[in-house]
Amino acid sequence: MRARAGLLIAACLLAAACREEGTDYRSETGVVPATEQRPGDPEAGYAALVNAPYVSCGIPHDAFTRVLPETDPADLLPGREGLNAELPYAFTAHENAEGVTIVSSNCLTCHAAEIEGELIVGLGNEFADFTQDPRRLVLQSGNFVRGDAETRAWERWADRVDGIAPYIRTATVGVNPATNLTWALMAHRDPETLEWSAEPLMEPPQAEPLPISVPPWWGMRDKEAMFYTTVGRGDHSTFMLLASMLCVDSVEEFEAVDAYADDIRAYIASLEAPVYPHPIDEDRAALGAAIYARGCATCHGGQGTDYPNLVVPLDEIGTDAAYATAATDGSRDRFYEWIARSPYGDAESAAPAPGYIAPPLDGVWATAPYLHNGSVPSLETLLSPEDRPRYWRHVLPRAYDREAVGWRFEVLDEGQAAEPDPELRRRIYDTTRHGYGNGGHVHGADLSAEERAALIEYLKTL
Amino acid sequence: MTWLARLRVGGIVGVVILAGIGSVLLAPRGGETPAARGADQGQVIEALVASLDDGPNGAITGPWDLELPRDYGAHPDAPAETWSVVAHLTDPQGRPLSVNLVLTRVGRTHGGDAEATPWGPGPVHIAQATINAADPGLRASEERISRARGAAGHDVAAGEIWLDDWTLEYGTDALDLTLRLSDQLLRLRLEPRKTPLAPTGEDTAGPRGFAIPRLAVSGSLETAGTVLELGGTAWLDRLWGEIPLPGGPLVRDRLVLHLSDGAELSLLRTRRRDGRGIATVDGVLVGPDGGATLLEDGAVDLTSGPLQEDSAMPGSWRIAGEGLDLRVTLLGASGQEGFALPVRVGQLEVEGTRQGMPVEGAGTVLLSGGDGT
Repeated sequence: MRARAGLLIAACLLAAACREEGTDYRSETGVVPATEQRPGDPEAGYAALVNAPYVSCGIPHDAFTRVLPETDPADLLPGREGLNAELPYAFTAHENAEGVTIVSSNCLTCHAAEIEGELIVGLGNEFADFTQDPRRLVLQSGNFVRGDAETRAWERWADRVDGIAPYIRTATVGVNPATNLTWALMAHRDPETLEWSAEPLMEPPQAEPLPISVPPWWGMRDKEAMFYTTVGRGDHSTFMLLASMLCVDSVEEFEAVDAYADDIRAYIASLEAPVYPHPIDEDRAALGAAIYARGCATCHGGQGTDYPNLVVPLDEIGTDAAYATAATDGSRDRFYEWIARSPYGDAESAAPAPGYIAPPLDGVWATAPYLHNGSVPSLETLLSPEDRPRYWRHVLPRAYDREAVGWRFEVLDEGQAAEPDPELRRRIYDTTRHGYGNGGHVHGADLSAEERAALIEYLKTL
Repeated sequence: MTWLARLRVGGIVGVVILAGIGSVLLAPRGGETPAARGADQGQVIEALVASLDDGPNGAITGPWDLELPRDYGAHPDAPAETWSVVAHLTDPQGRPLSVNLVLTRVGRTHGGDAEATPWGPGPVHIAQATINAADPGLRASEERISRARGAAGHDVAAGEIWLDDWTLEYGTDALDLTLRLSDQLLRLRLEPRKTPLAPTGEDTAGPRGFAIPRLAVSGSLETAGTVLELGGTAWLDRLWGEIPLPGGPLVRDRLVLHLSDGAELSLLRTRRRDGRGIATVDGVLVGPDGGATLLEDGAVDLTSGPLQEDSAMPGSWRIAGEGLDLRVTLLGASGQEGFALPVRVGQLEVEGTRQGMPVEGAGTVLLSGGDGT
């Protein structure tokens, strides 16, 4: 323990010594300046996204097929090659250097989802379950691992999961811990060599992740910064490779993935929002368009206004402050410094602002629940702040609500603390939990019911 | 059902059905090379693994409901299956004696040309039996392995599974187990006293099986011209399908306890062989009325006492949670490192409380690959 503490102190001192002069890793609220992105081939990008081993560790295939022997045809994607053509969309297979076929989670674990019977690549997965300890799944898969080469491959993956598991368990099914996961991986890697360390090289993040809703990929076409607090400025192609950091153990491996990252980014930027699949009342939507132009377009763009990439200060937007505060109160600076020293970015890549960026609203009909933490289940409740449920849960099996525009939900009388059954408790979205608040963004509160309905009808058209 | 949920269900079924069936089957090979263990043992392991290479079609699918006595018998369509009996007995003087048997079939009986010769590829049968008792003269353990056609198998008409002269006969009302270990002949009749625990009606490709947590046992142990009458309780596990394979990166400790108030407890602690990562403890608690409570990881705390040098396993365990506060003490152990699939079996006594009421009991611990600490 003493040696570990000493290592942590040494690592912190080293990080401080390497901190660039005058760098504060912060940005102002307001407009995010434009950055030119590396050009790429969208078609090649899709092929790489669904076939390439950018996450290079996982479950040996023989064990995977015994844990998950069947693939639902609805989970198959076109354009997948070889063994990938038989796997669910969220998994990619490749052969490692020892000849072991590995099955790994890919980007689509979080960035693809089904809505109204269609699997949409780029739609955030708002039903993923990060409430369980993933090390349990690791052990389950270990039951079927055989032989020395498979065991080495499995252990490599298991070690990484062991490293991040304490930091990625959310309180509620559906919200995503990706930010904390990334910080946890950084804590275990040398920023310059990317070598993995079983012991953290710097202080890991707090154990309980702050929840986020996965933003839709098609917004990347217009966004100058990738994430809610505008972390992810500059070269998006390289920065998004943080998603493959679970298993990239050297700069050479990083460069191999970076070689096609511009194509993947080009594919993501080429995505169009899905079209609302049900009839729209055009007259009502026209009324809503006027309301949108008057009250929404300034921040969200549209209606003749370019998307402004506008970061709204916390005291103005009023939504749950925990995420933006944690990003800007200094408690994450060691991770921003890690990025600056790594091949994933520079001193400008992770420079958050004390607010939240107003996202483009293309395809907003499909992206419930709303706000950065997914705390508001529908557009109807988003635009009626007084009606937002304090405690709620999705109705299962999931069902889309055309009227409210979002997933059907059930309002509960009590929160997680009052529910003794852990299975039921983790299904409850409890807005009284830290970081899970549903306040703020009160735009819409002063609309009449008819105006609100008109605005919602218009939002379906985006 | 989503792929993630199915992953969980598949894993849970494997744990829940039997909460740790066939620890022998699960035993890792350890760090030794086949040459170090002896060529025969290494070849057996390799044969086992090769037999299981049935590819993606190894799983059995479709709806299934438990039917007895049919499902006591073999399921030759499954890539592997196992029968496991843990019996906690006493002699007329009240001295405890425990019996453990695991019989495993690995690999299918392939049809076609393979049937033309007795030396063609066929399933491997492995059986391991252990008797633990305070009297050293009664202790015995033996492993038998058969790949020769006719030396082991299943006779549907007779309702019998056998390996050499070890037999498990089954019928509507009871099972009869006969084992000959060195100069001892053990005969036990097992009569179910509780409803089997089994998932029903699920169209799943996961492993299938059931457990009977309490069977009344009567029988005898004949040795050196004397006959020792025995009586007690037993736990029976049956599992078939894509079950965990020999070898691999995990070690497991399984405890099976019969309590004096009519309850039973089966716990399985799983962890990485390299010592890294976490340990999980899953299991099932069965009440006197037969109602079963699934114990997911975290439901109970299982802590081990210090390692005993002579037995190479902990001398005690403590179980707390779900209304249990149990102190488990090791009475004796049998080491089976010489077996192709090494496992250590310990005889246990139990005292403590369940739902606040005093209980005692008997138990067995099976350590597959680790030292149980």
